[in-house]
Amino acid sequence: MRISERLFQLVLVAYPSRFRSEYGKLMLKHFVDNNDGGFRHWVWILSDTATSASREHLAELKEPMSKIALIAAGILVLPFGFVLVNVLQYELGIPVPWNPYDSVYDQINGTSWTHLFDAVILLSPIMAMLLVGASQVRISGGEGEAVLARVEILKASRLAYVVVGISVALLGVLGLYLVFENLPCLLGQQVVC
Amino acid sequence: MTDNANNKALPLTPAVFEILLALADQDRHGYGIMREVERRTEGDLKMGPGTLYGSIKRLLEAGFIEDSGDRPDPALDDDRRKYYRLTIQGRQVAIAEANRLERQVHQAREKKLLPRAVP
Repeated sequence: MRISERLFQLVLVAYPSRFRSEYGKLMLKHFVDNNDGGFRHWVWILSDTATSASREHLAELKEPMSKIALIAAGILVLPFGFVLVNVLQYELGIPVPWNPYDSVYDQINGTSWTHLFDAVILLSPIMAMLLVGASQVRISGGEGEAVLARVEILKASRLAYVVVGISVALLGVLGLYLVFENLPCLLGQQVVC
Repeated sequence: MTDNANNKALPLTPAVFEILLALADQDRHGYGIMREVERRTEGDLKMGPGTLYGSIKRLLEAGFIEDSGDRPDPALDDDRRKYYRLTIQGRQVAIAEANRLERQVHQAREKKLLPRAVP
């Protein structure tokens, strides 16, 4: 494969993965047939990619699966902010001008709302992953065939992968927090737990 | 598809109308569509791969074109190419868009932007 073809394959990464898997080979063939190797050709290809790739990403965001992934991303805002602010302030010692979570916690400290607050922070990444996971599965009837139902796992969008990645990272950090905060209690080294 | 449904799809973008025009007389693959559009517009409209296949995707989803199983001569052709053809619905929409453009040209003549057509 020529260098220009390899470069065009890199350019194709700008498109949504589903569009790329459907039309990537055809676009590469189109590029090869039309490539004169000149600088102006590449300028034309890059400007076409900038407009058409952004159009395809916008079109993908309008699809129901992407809307669910967007909702899941919205659910992650609260725990993501919580982890980010607290890691910056307490683990890295970077002064944070305003910690909204501390402000809320001060108001509800000692009440049963604290448990709800902790539960929301911990369960949000799990909820986000379940939402994204459920949106990628399609179950259809067997329609007269010998099978009762057909289960399809759909190709995930880039946003879905990002949501799952951030959720796993958040659960990891929150899990470490829980372990290290409760370890002295579990080892009997702390009186008040 | 009813006339009302056809009108809802209008106006078509220049790229989409050109693709439908390119497929009006014969099935073509993506590169063939681009060459035909370039030839007909004398190079004024040159569609890049992203614009072309993005438009083809939307036309397939709308049911205006379909994947043509036929290949002119597989021995002479590259199997990586996919041929497309106009559907009945796509032809109706192309006719509706052509009529809309014809009405606009007529209005331009009425307003003396264009010379009157010689009968």
